[in-house]
Parts: sequence; C-alpha cells; structure tokens
Amino acid sequence: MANRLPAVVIDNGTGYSKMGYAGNTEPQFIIPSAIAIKESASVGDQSQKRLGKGVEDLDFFIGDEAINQPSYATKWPIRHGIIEDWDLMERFYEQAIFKYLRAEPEDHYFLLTEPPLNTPENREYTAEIMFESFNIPGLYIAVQAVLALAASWTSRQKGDRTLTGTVIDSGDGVTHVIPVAEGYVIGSCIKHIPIAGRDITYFIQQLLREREVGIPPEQSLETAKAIKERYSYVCPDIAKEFAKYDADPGRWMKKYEGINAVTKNPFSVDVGYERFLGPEIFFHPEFSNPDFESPISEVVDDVIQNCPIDVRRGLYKNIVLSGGSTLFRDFGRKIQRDVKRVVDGRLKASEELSGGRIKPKPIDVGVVSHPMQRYAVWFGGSLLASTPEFYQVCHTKADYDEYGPSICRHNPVFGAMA
Amino acid sequence: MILLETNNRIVQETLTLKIKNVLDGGKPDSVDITIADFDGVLFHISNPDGVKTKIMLQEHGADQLIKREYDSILSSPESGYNVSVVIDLENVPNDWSSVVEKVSLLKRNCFASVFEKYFQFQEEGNDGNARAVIHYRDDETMYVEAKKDRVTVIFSTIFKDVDDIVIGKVFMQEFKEGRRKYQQAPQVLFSHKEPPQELSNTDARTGDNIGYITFVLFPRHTNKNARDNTINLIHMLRDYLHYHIKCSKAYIHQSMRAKTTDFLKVLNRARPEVKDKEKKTITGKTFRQN
Repeated sequence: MANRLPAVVIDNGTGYSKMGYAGNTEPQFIIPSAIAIKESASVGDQSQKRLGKGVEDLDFFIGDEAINQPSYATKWPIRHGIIEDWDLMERFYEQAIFKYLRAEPEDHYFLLTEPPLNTPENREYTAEIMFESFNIPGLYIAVQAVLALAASWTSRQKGDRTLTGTVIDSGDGVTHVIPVAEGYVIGSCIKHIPIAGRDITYFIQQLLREREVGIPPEQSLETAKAIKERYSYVCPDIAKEFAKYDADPGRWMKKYEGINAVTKNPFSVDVGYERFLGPEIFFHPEFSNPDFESPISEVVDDVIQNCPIDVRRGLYKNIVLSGGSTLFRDFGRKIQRDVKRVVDGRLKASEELSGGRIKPKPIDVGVVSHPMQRYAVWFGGSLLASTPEFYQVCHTKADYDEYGPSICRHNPVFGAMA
Repeated sequence: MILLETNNRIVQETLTLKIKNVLDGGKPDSVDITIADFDGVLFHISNPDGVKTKIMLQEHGADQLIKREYDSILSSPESGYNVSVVIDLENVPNDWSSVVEKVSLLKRNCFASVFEKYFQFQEEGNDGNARAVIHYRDDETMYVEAKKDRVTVIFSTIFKDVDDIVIGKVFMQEFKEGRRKYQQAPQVLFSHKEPPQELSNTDARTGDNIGYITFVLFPRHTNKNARDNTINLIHMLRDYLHYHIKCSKAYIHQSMRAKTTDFLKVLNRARPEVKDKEKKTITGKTFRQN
C-alpha cells in the first residue's frame, strides 16, 4: 500500500506511557500509566468485583485525568516495567487508542515495547489483546534497550551507527543495565538496580520531612518530585559540594514556591543539599536502600565484565542513557569518570602483574547523552516504525490467525546468541 | 467514556502549546508532526507557522463550509494534502483558543458540509437532488439523501473479524430497542449482508462482512438548532460503533479472565482424597475404610 497511515508507537513504562505516531521526533502524549476506576467496596475477588452489569466497564479515566479523580480508585497496572493487571491494561489501551491517539486500530500497524526479560506469556497476552480485541493488522514488540540504542544514533556521525552498547535505562520504577551486542540482548548479563526515579523522590521527601514544616503532608510527594525534576543535579564529589554550599548558601540554595491545594495559601520550601543528594543515591545506594550497596558505575562495570570478552570494548565505548531518571545534569559525566577509573585501575594492575612486559591497549569509555533521552525508547521505536523494513518484520494478523499468539512468544532479538 | 470526542486532541494540544509559548514571549520553535485521525485522515503540522491537513472529502460543498469556517487562515494546500490552514504566530489573534478549537474540528467540518447541504435541501423541500455518495474509507461508503420530510443517511461498514459481526449485530439491535424508550430519537435500521431497499439499484456492495446502518432524520433533527449536535453524533457513528465493539470484546475478555481465575482457585483447592486413613465413628471407635 503506497498511502499507508503511520504506525502507532506506544511505550508503556511504570510511571509514564509515551504514545504517538511513527515518524515524529517526540511522542504526542506522555501521560501517567494510571487508570482510575470505580470500585465497589464489597468483599470478594478483585476481578469478579469489577464486572458490572451496565456500562461500568466504560466508566474510567486514564493518564492525567486519572490522578485526583474523586470517588475513583487510581490504579497502576504496570509494576517494574512489566504489565501486571491485564484487565486494566486492556481498558487503558482502549482509551489510549480511541480517545488520545484517535486511531482506528484496524488501519494502523502497532509497535509496542517490552522490558528486557519480559516473560513469553506476557508477550502472548499482549498479542492476544492487540489482535483479538483491537483487530490490528500488524504488531511488533520491541525490546526497550535496543530501541534506546537506536535512538542514540542521531547524536553521532553517520558512519558510527552500531547496535553494540550498554544501555542504562532508568525510569520511575526500576533501573536496568543491559548489554546489547550487534542488536542482540545478552539476557544472562542484565542487571537490575532497585533504585530509580521514585526512590529519589522518596529520599528527597524524607529529607524535606525532617527539615521543612510548611509542606502540607498530602502534597509532600508532589513537592519532592517537583524539586527533583527542577533543581537536582549530579555532583563530582559530595564532600566538596557540602563545603561549597556552606561557604556560599545564598548562591546554591534555591527556593521552591508551592500552593496548598486545599487552603490555596502559598508555601515556600528551601532547597538545599537535596539538590545533589537525591541523584547521589545512584552512586551511594546505601543512603536509601540498606540492602543494596553497589554504585551504578560498579554495576555497569560488572555487567560488561560478565559479557563475552570480544564485545567488551564495544560495550565500554558506547554506554547509552535512557529514561527520565538519567536526565540529571552531569549524570553521564560522572558515570564515565567512575567507570573509566575502575577500568584503568584494572589495566594498571594487570600491567604490574605481568611485570611491565605486557602493555595493554587503553580502553575507551564513552557515555552518550542525547536530547531524546527522556523518551529515547519511544523515539527509537518511532525511527524503526517509519522504515519500510518495519512492515516486513511485523507479526501480521494473518500470521496470528494461522498460528495463534505463540508467534509473539519468541522475540528474535534474544535468539541469535544461542 | 461512552461517546468519542469530536475534535482532535493532538492538534488542539500541540497548537495550544505552541501559541501559548509565543504569547509567553518564547521563540516560536520548529514543529513537524504527522498524525492520523479516524477514517484515514492525516494531519501534518509543520512550519512555517502552519497546519496542513489531508482529508479525503472534496465534493459536495466541502469547500464552501471550510471557507466559511476557516476563511481567515486558509491557504493553498500543500502537495498531497487537501486543505491547509495557516496560523501566523507573529500576530496571534485574541480569540486564538477558538481558532485552535476550529482547526481541531477540521475533520468534523468536512463531514458537516455534506450534511448541512442536504439538511438545507430537506428544509427547502427540494427532493430532486442526487444522492450523495461519499467513500469515506477505502471500502466503506456513506449515502445521504434528502426527501421533503426526511433525510436518510446510510452507512456501510466492514467488519474485519467474524466476531465483530455478531457483536455489531447485537449492538445495533440494542440500538433499535433503545429507540422505543426515546420517542424523539431518529429511526434506525440495521441490515446485514444486503444493502437496504433504498440502495437496491446502486453498486452497493454485498457480502458476509458488510453491515448497513440507516438513519432516518426528521425535521426536528435537522433544524438549525439541533443540526450541529446531529452532525457531531452521526459523523462519529462508524468509529463509535467500532470503538464499542472493541470495548465489548475487552469486557468479554475481562469476564473470561475472572472466570479462569475462579476455576483455577477451585482446581487448586482440589486435592485427591487420602483413601487409606483411619476414621472415627461417633462412639469413638476407629475403623479403616478400604
């Protein structure tokens, strides 16, 4: 078909869903992955309870409208990047497609994303929903990490396009470090870090709670989030940063002005050390999570060291950031510095052990930051879905009708390494 | 959400954002967005300072209505597109929010032009006009015909899935039922496979997966006051129907999942009975049942 309508690209994250049409540089909607439903108070099974008799199944809101909807219960059907509640997700898609994107799903190909290590069952469920409920003509489920790598291409020279690299994907719910070699995810080497955007927000909230009294309790989370998004940055050295703040508070301290939602009175909060302490929990996780103490740079190094030896240089050279929690200023620079330090240390040690006979070739460590970072995965998806090849790799409705949901069970991206 | 919105949210939000940005003293930033809407409509928002859209309708006075609505911002269409409107960010009109609203209703207004024309014919008692045939999708058609006392609107729609036919049928029957409760509602007829009588001598398609929906609109629907609302509702009908078919399927899936978890629970509770066990009688004696 010459005059094909653009494909729909939807990237569902734990915190936000990014959706839009392929070929654009930014998603048309970035909405919270929340859904507000009416829930009866009666006891009984969750799923049974939700089955109303009339049109209750149409009575819900998604996205920004779902937050602060009185007499509705707000639900988050995605946890740690993986869809947990399929009933709600199906309804979420209903409105996402018809109300927000205004796409007739029968006319558009769809590109959805999945987290690394998504279960094959989940992939089948997704295919079932998309093909059975929405009758879409074709579906492609892409791995977020690979899309993030593809998104980083724009910020570099044309000749340097590689699908080998380490992706640090940090969203609201979870952070992954994912090695990708030639477009294939090395599944066994993926590491999760239980620290992400939400933990930073909680940490800042906790700091504020200890010090500031003016914040209305029900707004403290939003305040912390706003402070995180607006003022936080990564510092090279905490001790020096503390000294800097103490020497000249006027220059570094900021003021956050908020309005109490109930009384409409303004309140103000001093923003001090939390500006750099918040993002610092990536590098000193013990601040917020006593069970986990390896800093992010160490995890990155671990991941790469676990990978096959012939791809390691490529992985060090191309560390790609993706997701909202990697947007802090100097985040990339600090990771680059820390990883480089570890790598150089190792090379030096091996040189000493060999008694100076072996001179190892130094390893390049490169961290790629680019303007699309916040929705890198979506942008990668948009790039992919606007190429003509996309339509060839899609699972089509005809395939689905012939073989069933198992066609999506296997994602070719994981296959070739084995 | 039972009814679908008539305006295009993306167009509205993007334009509002851009105009607000300029009004707040920001520099107009570059924009290049291609988005789709129902029924194969394609919008292209791009610089310099314009909105370009592609819409399938041209016949039947679409031009007049668009001229009336968008006169101040209309410009010559970009190649490949049917209508282009331009908003000048240098001097944003004071009522920009209504302009934005209007642009986001572009698709609706294209449809509206046909209806308005035929509603007018009906009002004037002019029934010698040819039936309007609009191929609003590649394989789906809408017919509008004006008589002295009524306007007939017939939609043909294709169901791609066999299940959709069943759900669509039930849904339309429910429509007919619902009409009994509301005397003012227009008459609705639904025919499956075969086109209705009015279209018997045309090239209307027949087939297993085709449904025809006929609306008979009376003067009380087509008079000047009710007209806009009627158009709003009727031009979204096809999408509305398909939206609800999908929602019904989602609902069925939901109850299927609920039932499955229910059965799984029963299954998990079921344990094979241990046969070789000592049992007690009421008097305290024990015995073994084989």
